[in-house]
Formats: sequence, C-alpha cells, structure tokens
Amino acid sequence: MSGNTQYKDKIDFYLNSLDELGEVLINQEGSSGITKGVLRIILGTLMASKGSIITVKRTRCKILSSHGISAQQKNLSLNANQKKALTSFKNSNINQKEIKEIFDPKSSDDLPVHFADLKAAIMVPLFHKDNLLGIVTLGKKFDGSTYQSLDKKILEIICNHLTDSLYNQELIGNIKDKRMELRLKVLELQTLFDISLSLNSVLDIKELSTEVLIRSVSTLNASSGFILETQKNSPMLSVLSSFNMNEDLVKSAIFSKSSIPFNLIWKDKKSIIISDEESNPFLKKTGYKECIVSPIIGNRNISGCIVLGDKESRDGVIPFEKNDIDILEALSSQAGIAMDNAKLFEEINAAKRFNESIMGSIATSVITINLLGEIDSVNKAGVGLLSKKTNEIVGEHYSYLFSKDQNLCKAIESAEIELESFAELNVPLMSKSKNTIVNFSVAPLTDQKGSHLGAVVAIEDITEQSKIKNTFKRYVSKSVVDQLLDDDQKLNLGGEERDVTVLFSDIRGFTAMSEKMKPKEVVSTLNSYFSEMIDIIFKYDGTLDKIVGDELMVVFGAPISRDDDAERAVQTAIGMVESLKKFNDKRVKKGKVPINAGIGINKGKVISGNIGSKDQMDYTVIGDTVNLGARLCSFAGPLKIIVSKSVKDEIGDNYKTRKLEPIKVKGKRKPVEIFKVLT
Amino acid sequence: MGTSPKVELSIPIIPDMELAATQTSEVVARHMGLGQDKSDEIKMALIEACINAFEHSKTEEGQVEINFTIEDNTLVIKVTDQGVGFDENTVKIPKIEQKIKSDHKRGWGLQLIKELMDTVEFESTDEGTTVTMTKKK
Repeated sequence: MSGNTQYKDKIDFYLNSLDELGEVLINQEGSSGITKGVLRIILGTLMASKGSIITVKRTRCKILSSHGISAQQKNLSLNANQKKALTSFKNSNINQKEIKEIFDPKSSDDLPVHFADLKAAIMVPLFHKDNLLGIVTLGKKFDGSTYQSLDKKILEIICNHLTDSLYNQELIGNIKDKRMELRLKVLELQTLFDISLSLNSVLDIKELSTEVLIRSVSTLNASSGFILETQKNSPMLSVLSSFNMNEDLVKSAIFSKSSIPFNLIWKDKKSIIISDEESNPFLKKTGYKECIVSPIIGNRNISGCIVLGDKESRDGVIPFEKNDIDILEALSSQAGIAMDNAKLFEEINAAKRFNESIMGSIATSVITINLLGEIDSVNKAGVGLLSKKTNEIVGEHYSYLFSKDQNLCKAIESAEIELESFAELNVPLMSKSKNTIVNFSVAPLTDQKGSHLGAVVAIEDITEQSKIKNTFKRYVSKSVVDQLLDDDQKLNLGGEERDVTVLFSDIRGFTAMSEKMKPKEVVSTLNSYFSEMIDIIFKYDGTLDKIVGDELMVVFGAPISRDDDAERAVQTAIGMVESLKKFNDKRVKKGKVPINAGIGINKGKVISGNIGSKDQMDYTVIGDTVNLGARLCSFAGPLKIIVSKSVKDEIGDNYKTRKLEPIKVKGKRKPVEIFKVLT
Repeated sequence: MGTSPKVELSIPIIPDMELAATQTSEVVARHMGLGQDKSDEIKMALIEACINAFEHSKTEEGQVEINFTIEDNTLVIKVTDQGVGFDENTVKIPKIEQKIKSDHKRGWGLQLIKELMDTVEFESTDEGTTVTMTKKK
C-alpha cells in the first residue's frame, strides 16, 4: 500500500468517525450518554486505550465517562492555578509534558491522580467562550506511536463538537431547572391565589385557621398538621385548629414559646424543618418522623405557628424540601394577614357591640340624622322615648318624626346650617305628649376630617326629674329669680359683706351606706332625696348654694336679703325633716335603709359674691358664719336640727328649742352655744 | 490443555449491557495472559461488535450470543445477532463487507474492529450475522 493510499484510508476513517459522531450527538440524550458515546468515538478514532471526559463546574469536576481505568471516585476538584493554566490552551491540545506541568503527577490531589492513572498523553480543555465546560484526556495509542498532527486535528474537531453539545446540554439543563422552578412557582401562585380568595371571604378566626391548615396540608402533601396560637400574657401556645391529628394529643399537649422548636421560630422568624429523629422532643411529642414549622406573622409579630408533619408520597414518608418551606412561608404570610384581618374584624365588632351597649344603656335618647335629614340610628332610650319601633324611626325624616316639635326641628336645621350646637331645657316633647318634659341638644355631626355628616340629637327625658329643677342647675328658686329680674339694684355680684343665714344638711353614715349599694342605686337614691329636699328649699325661697356629695348648702339672704331669712331657714329645716320622714317610710316599706340627714343652721356676717377663677365663677358666700353652720350640721343627730344662738335670737319663741351643751369650735376661745329645734 | 477453553455469553439488547461482554473479555484476556493494551483493544472491538449487533437486531426482545474460545495462543470471539427475524420476505440485510466498502455510516465500528483485532470475518445469513474476530497473544 502506498503512503498516499494509507493516508486516504485514514482520512476515510476519520470522515466515518465524524459521521458516527454526528449520529451519537443527535441520538444520545443527556450529557452522560453523549460523553460516553463521544469517548468511544475518540478512543476508536485515535486508537487509544485509555481516556476520560470530565465536566467542570467552577472548581468541581465530574468524570462523566472513562475507559481503560478501574472505576474510582467520580467527583474531583480543580484548583484556580490549574484552571488558569488550562485557559491558555483554549480548545487546543495539550501534550504529555505540558499536562505534567499543570497536573503534577506526584501530587496526591484527586485530579492529578486521575490523569496519572490514564497515563495522560494528550488533553483538550473544552472552553465555550471563556467558560471551561470540561476536559477530554487520552492515554497513549495502542501501537505506542505518538499523536500525529492529523490525530490532534481530528481530536480538536471532535472536541469542538463535544463542547457545543455540552454547552447545549447545560442550557437544556438550565431550561429544565427553570421550567421546573416556573411550574412550582405557577403552582405556588395558583395555590396562593386560591387561598387569598378563600381567606379573604372568611372572617371568623377559627374557621379561617382551619381553612389555612387544610390548604397547607394538601399543598404540601403532609399527613396532618395543626395551628398554634399565642395567648395574651402567657408563654404557652394553644391549639387553634388541627387536621387529621390524634384528638387526645391535641387536647393534652402543652407547647411553650420557649421550648424547642418554638424558641428558634420566635428568634429567627423563619420556618424550620425538624428531622433529627428521636432526639427531638417535639417529634417525640407529636409522633412525627419529620415536620415543618412555620411562623404566622401578622403585623410584624408572630401570632402563631403552622405545624405540618410527615410529607407523604407513593413511596411513603419523604423529607420536606426547601421548596416546601417557600410555599408554606408564602401560605403562612397570607394566613397572617388574613388572621390579622379577622382579628381586627372581631375587635371592630366588639367595639361596635360595646358602643351599642353603651348607647343602649344610657338614659338619654341619641338620634343621628344624615345629610338628607333621615334618621340613621336611634338608641334604646330613643326607641323607648318615642314609643315607636326602631324600623319606624330609622329612615324617617326628622321633620315628620318631630312634626309637633317645631323648636326641635328648628334647632336641627340651625345646627345643620350653622354647624353649631343648639340646646333647649325643660321643654315639652309634643311628638310624645305634652306632659313629657325634656332637655334636648342638637350638635352637627362631623367625621375626623371635619366633613359634615349630619346631626346628632340628644333628648333627655326629665319628666320625672323636672322636679329637681333641671338637675340642680337652677340653684335659685323662681321667686328669687323674679325678684332679681325686677330689681337690678339688689343684685350686687361683687364681694360684699352681708348678713345671711346658712343651712347645712348631710346624710349620717352616707359613705358607709353607699359602700353597700351599687353606684347606680346611690345615684338614684341621691337624686330622689335631693329632689324632695330642693322642693322644700325653693318653697321657702332658699338659694341652693352647693351640693357636695350628700351635703347640701342653702343660703337665705343672698343675693337678696329679707327680714325673715332665719325663720325661713328653720321652716325649711323642719320641712326637710318632715319630708324626709315620709321619704324614709316609703323606703323602709320597700326594704331599703332610711336616709338619716342632720341639719345645722347659723346666721351671721359673710362675704358674698362671685368667687372662683376667671373660668369658673360661682356666686357663693364665705366666712366664719359658713364654717360654723357646717360644724353645727355635723353635730346634729339623724333627723335633728341644730341652730346657733344668732338663729335662736332671731326666731325667738316661735319655735320650740332646747339649749344643749356649748361646743368647742376651732378658732374660737369661748365654747359656742347651740340649740336643738324640737319638731 | 486438551480442549480449547470456551466461555459462552448471551446478553439482552439493552444499552450498556455490552459492558457485561467487556468484563468477560477482560477476565478471559487475563486468563490468557494478554497485556493490558491488548485487553483494552479487545474490549473496544467487542463494544463495537455488540453495538453493531444491537443495531441489527431490530426486535428488542432478541439476545446477542457471544462466544469466547481460546485456541492455542489466540482468542476467538464470535458475536452473533438474530437479525431482523426469520421471515424470508423481510428486507435482506446488506452484506457487511459492502457496507464498509460503500462508506456506509454503520461501517465505522467494523472498520475500527479491523484495526483493533488481528483478523475479522463476517458471515451474514437470513437468520442473522456473525462477526468472528481473533487476537493473538
């Protein structure tokens, strides 16, 4: 055979090699299958007995295919220097000597050892652009000859194809990974979308947690699970809902925030997978082989935990994966928001109920009117006052509802127009009956931003209390007022010294008595007591100076003096005692404790006038006379009247009196003479 | 030894199953005292023969028979496939020799076998194809 023919045969063979290579690259799938086929062709084409194809990812190398060496470890590592050295031989062959320079055969590193095993005679690093994808290495040729330039050329050609193929495989791998990731993301999004839809429609916390739990269990393929909830002022966690769990376990188990695994959850606010077999007390407690615990975070605080156990598959229980954490965290953050909403809703509901109960419990009728003039709401007292059903009131226009009360309608109208409050006291509510006496006030209704929303009407039914002269505000009897109006001269509100008679009364043992009663009862008792007393005080034209607790102070002679001030004071006292006796009879019959008031009266000089601060002025009297009056009152026994000598002198013998032992009074050297008025 | 030692192997047509044949050849070669290079050459030739046989046996249920015989200092390996089947009417398999000469795709493996082994013979009938190859010590 001539050299030429031999050469032609070789070319033919090489062409067939490339043909075969195409076959392998087209038909084989996966980098492992391709490298195996390509190595077979390289070895066959170059007639070499040993060889390997290694893939490189950063510093990690993997032997994908080898021939002629005994099987050994598949994972090797490439150091930075070696990688740098290979870069200078980009896709061209490296000879035996150069290989030994890069991969020191004396080194005990796994990669040089591998090349030494191969008796590496030629090597091609596979670069795609600047990225090292792999290394093709061959041992010596069978016939012992060296690699010829034609051998090297064909090797490089095959290697270029292999590089392309490996790059494609990497791309395909990436695409597969991405597609898998996308599928999971889509699944995750779908689930989350479904969940957020269903969660948003549930506002009951218990129902909501069950929904979240069942969704989580089914999404993650867990066999069972439960949701724990934090409790106020307690480190313990209570089971909010459970799915497929042993009931006894759920009821009896005690979980604490400070125990494993919750201490970690609270510290890191991250989900964890617990799988360290029997050593973990939590797994022991729950009976899980493995479980995943995720915090439910709402409003930045952990409000609870989702615990899911034992991921199921056809092959039995399998471990939870990173992806499961991602999904569960997304779920639990949805749950956190939804549960926050549910809690908020519950709180709002509670606040609403609380408001309603307050509105319902107050005696004043409260009616809100919207911008159209229609009644928006009415409280229980309002329903009672108007003697109509709620649905007959709400939605009705105020001008119809209060058609007989033009003053009220006008007040509402004014409040709406002028955005100011209007009030009227002690007027009949004709819409109910002419005997119904009310105080009403109308205020414009605005929201927090100040926008006008309508009006609110408060109507206080004082038919019963009207006797107390509009809740004690009118301290001066009508005749005194009339006199004042008649004669401006008599009214001198500046401080002036004048002769007055002061009457004090207070209830014996009231504090002790009130402690035994409900606050409501105390108020109603005092109201009816004062109502009776004030009637008498006004009957004798006394001026009600002040009411402090159970104590009454009445002045006779200020702002207008009369000759019979002292006598009227004593008459008032006697009247009060008589009235109180009748009052007590009624109380005792009802099984209530009698009210025992004592009365003291003194006459003398006082300073009278408007006394107080600029903001709070009171027309009152001050001085020793006042103080002694109060002292006398404290000396008076139940239903007894004590008067001073000045009063006794004034009333003379018109009233029976008895002289008592003089008393010592602070600030006075001489004991003070006192008299008991006999009734 | 009076009789020639013989190893018979039957492998299913499953990818990578040719490795069962190369492991056997390695044992036989070692028994004969063949060098590592020669053993490697035999393995490569055997792989090509097996792959060829796999490709000829279009029915995947078939088996490929491999016989190793040590005659004096020569290892004789026969690889037999069952061809496309036993139906007379099926398309005739082109002669292997023709395939090689016509630069047909599938010829590369056989060409390689020729390079690797001392002798190669092909025998193709309707019932299948036998490749007989030898390697001297």
